[in-house]
Amino acid sequence: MAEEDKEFLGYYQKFKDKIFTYFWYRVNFNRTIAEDLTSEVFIRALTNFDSFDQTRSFQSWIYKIAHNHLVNYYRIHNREVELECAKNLSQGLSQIIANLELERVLKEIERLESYYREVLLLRFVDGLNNQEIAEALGKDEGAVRTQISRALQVIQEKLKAHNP
Amino acid sequence: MNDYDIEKVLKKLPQPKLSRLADWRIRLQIYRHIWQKRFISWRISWHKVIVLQSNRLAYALIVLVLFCLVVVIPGFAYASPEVTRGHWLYPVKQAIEKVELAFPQSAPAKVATYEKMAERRLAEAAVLTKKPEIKKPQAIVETIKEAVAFSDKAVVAVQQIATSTEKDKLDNLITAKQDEHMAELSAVAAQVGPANDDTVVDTIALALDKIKQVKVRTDKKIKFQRLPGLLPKLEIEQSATSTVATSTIITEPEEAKQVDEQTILEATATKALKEIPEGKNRPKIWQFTKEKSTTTPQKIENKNKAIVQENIENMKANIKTLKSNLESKPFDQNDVTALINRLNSKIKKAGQALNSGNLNQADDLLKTTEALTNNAEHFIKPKKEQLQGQEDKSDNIKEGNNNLGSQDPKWINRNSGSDNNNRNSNDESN
Repeated sequence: MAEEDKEFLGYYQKFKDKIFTYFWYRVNFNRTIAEDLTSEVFIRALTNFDSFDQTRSFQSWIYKIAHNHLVNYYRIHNREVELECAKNLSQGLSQIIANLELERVLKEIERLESYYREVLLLRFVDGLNNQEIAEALGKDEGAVRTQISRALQVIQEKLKAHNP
Repeated sequence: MNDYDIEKVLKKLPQPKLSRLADWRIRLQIYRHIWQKRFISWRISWHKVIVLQSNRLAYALIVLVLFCLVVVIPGFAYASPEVTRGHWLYPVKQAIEKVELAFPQSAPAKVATYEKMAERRLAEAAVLTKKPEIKKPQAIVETIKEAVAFSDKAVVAVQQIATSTEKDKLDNLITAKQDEHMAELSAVAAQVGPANDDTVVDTIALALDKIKQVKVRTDKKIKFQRLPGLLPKLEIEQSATSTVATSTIITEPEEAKQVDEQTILEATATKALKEIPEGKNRPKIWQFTKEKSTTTPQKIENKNKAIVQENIENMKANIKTLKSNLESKPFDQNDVTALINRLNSKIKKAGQALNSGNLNQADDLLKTTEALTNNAEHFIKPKKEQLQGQEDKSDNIKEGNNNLGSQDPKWINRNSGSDNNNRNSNDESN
């Protein structure tokens, strides 16, 4: 097997769960869809692996691919996932998350605007730093930092409002 | 809940993992994709290799074809005796030989080259006559004539050599070569047989005679030759009014007009001719006396006619003698009969030509008849039950020649070595 193929498999091993988690949170916790999207993302990454700049972070690169793939997926399916997500959120979450507090936070996250939600999940669920989030979303790092801060503030306000 | 708490909570959000089945499914897809990519690249590189190899193959093929055209085919054409007149490669052979001859060469090298060419032609003649039927008689004739011509050129080239030692050396070479040529032509004659195409048989017979001439050639090349021993002394008759000097000259009729007149003195009309009485050893002679007023072309022609007639009569006798000799020897009698019939037919035609006034044709017929008579044994197969190899046949040939020479005085002039030399010298001078 060629060296670059081995290298790619190494990256796959390292990021497969993260990408899966990324999609799982964004397709209404649907495992099957998340797995399919994960497969498609890695195949796309393999196809374009020749053009990957080795000096850059693979994580940023794979998340960018995943984000673009998700946007296409939303466009194709006419944001059905978001609606479905809102409808079945409580049912899905209760099966997944036993912690009530987590459930409450996650519900609020789901109610956030998409951009706030995205940066929060990338930051706290996927574990990307501000620079990587900025690269993945094609935004300025300062703007990302501001958005994360703003998102946290919104959640906090909403949690306080619901639980005074 | 402050930010810090929210961050803590958020960090505790579940992070599910890919199921093992999904993992293997994705891995399988990745491997398949990798192999597909590799297969496509192999196909591309093989395509390049094939194209490259095709180009290389094309170049190699072109080089091979050029090599065949420039080296192999001409080499084969040049070296193979199977490439004969009429073969599509024969012009290639001739072209190469022309180039070879065009190169400036020393006289010894020229001699060797001419002899080599003569050998080639004889080898080609052997190939042409190999088949049961002779399909290209003209090709055989031209090939043999060319062989003889090359042999003559070799002789001429020897004459151009200044040093006598070198000349003697090359003379020996040519003599040895003539033996080889004789053997080759003899084989061709045996292959052809006496009953085959006229021109082929005549050409072979004349070529055999020519080879014999070369072997016993003399240094002198004069237009005519006086025979020592047979020539009467020069007789001079003097009278009050004239002096007549007469000498006998043996030559061909064509040379009548080329006789050296220095030996002839003026004579009177009444004593212009002196006849030589008939006798046992009467040579073929004629007398020429320069006559101021009475000698005419008609008289010369009459003399020529007389000589040709005499030759015809002599030849008839020779044929009878040859016949009895051949019949007494262990030769295939069918061949003997065919040969004798052919000889008689030629003589008959010579007589007809003489009667119609065509002396040249008559003389040509006599020449070929004589050549065929001289070399009869080469054309005749031995009897099957007497076939004991080439040694016996060659013994018979030698014996036949000796017997033919001694039995008939009329043969003395034709078959004795000196006589043949003389006549052959005259031939060469012509």
